[in-house]
Amino acid sequence: MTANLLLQHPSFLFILAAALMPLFSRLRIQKAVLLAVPLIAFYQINTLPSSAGACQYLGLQLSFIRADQLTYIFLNVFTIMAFIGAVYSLHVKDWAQHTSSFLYVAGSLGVTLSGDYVTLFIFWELMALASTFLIWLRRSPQSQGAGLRYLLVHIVGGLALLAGILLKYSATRDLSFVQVPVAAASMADYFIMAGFMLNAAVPPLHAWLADAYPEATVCGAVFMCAFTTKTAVYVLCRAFPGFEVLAVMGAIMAVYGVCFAIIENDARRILSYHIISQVGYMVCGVGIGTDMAVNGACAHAYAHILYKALLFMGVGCVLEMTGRQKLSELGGLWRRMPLAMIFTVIGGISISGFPFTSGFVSKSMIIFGAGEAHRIGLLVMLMLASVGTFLSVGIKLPYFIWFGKDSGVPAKDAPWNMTAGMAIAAFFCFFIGCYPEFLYRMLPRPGEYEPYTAYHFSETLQVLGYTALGFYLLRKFLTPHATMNLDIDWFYRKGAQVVMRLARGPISAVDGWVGELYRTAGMRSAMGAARGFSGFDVHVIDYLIDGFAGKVVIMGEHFRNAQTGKVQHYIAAAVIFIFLLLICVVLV
Amino acid sequence: MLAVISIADIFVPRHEAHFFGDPIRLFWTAFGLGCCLAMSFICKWISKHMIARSEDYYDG
Repeated sequence: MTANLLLQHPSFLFILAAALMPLFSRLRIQKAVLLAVPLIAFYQINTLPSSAGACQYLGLQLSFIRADQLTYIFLNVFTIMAFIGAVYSLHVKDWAQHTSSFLYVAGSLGVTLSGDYVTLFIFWELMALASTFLIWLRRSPQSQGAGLRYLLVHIVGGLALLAGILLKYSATRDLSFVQVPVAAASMADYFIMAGFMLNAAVPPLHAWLADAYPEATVCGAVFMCAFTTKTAVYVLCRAFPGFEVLAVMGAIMAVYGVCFAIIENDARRILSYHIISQVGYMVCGVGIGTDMAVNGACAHAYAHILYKALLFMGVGCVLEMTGRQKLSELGGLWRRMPLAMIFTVIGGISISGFPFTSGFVSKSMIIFGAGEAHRIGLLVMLMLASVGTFLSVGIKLPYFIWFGKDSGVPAKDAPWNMTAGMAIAAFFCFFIGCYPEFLYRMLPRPGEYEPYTAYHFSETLQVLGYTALGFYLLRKFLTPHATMNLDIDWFYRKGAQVVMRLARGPISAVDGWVGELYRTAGMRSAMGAARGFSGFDVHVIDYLIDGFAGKVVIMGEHFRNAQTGKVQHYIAAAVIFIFLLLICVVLV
Repeated sequence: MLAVISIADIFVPRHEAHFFGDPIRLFWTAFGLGCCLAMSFICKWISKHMIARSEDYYDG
């Protein structure tokens, strides 16, 4: 059974390839492996049994594979994304980056397939750990700090999840990972939900994302933007559809993300805030919980992974070729990097939901779902987020990188494989937009949706068209400056600095004072005491022991002399001894 | 082109109204432009007066 499981489970394939990556690198077959593994995994997920790999371990029922319609759509896009990411990172020679990204993908696939909380938790932590290395491997001082903060935040999230799992186990003895009815949600479920929400970057648990992703490696960020948050969307979709808190927080995060994106200067940080915003749509859809909204959340996750990766790839090309990612340091690159520009703009119009792109057919499902459920407040907030999305990623980002004032930065188009990765993702953006049936067929819930209606066209074109007009009017005002904006991470980053300052100041002073006290008072008395003990040892203990040993020798001598070697003396002595013993017994 | 889009909206058939904005002609025109301007001003103001810091703010 174990061998069967290893063959069937796509995560193990990725883990094996990750472990052997140094060898593949030495044998110069790294590139072939990078491309082959996601393709094999894609074949595997199409042949998965509905459940397998169930086993007992330490009295727990584990289930490594649970495949249904909901897992399939996520597995499908995860493996496609792994392939695109592999193509994009083919030129990277550093095998450690490939190992980390493969382990990361393995974690994500493992979470998606797991049918119980223990298996889920293991893969969940694998994901957190592997992705931390994708940040650290940038090998810059900023990335070291950002990676450490990322890891610490995710450990906290993992502990919340673990606390929930333990509470659940102690209450129900059942750790199967299934939908929680809203009415039956307990404290344990809310702990688990908090752990999931941290990975989905729901405010106020979101700051890790905008802090860490811009500091990751060029290729690492492409992987990261796809997996962590969307795996979280999957688990929320699985366990918590219909929870009101998710609907409200989702709508808030959709708007929150774009507000930060409008004022941000760092291109990859703009995209990071847009992940928060776009995942907000999905979380909101899950929270609304109707068939249309949940289908919309899944469809949007699918479309989002592809266009967000495309955007990160486009901006990653700029970073790779120029070493810069701040809008205020870029501009006028369209002549030098035309391909990257075209693909990034395709990503930009897809995320904004232009007709015939993937955003048009997926985002509108969630908004339509909100309308159908008569959630007007949510609907208006999501439309507001659409305006902000087009304003900042659809127009502002390409404008200030490729047009605007020419920065004179030397650049040329990226290596062929990076362009190829972008081309595949761009193809999917249009393919899904023009042929939405491809996506709708995979959706987990029943229901029909027709995106191409005259009203939807009109609504979208008005919103996007007039947003563009707004940008044109305000383009001077919206020019980004070389500043950064505070976010929730201020609390722990400044908090940590305060702790460090306390450690350097008062705590260090107290430590020094105690040390000084010890040196003056403590040391002298300790030395005195040591001398005292030494004397005691020499004069008393040694004397006693030596004396005792001497006495034993003398007694032995006497005893030896007392032996006569005559049997009757021994018998007489034994009789006397027994007699004395009897007297003792009688007397006592 | 924007004018064409807006004029077209007047003639577009509507689906069953989900909320108050759906039946209003040119609602999304006003929404798009209004929200874009409002969001830009509000966010820029918040940034400038409350949360913008120099880039080495955390390095100190």
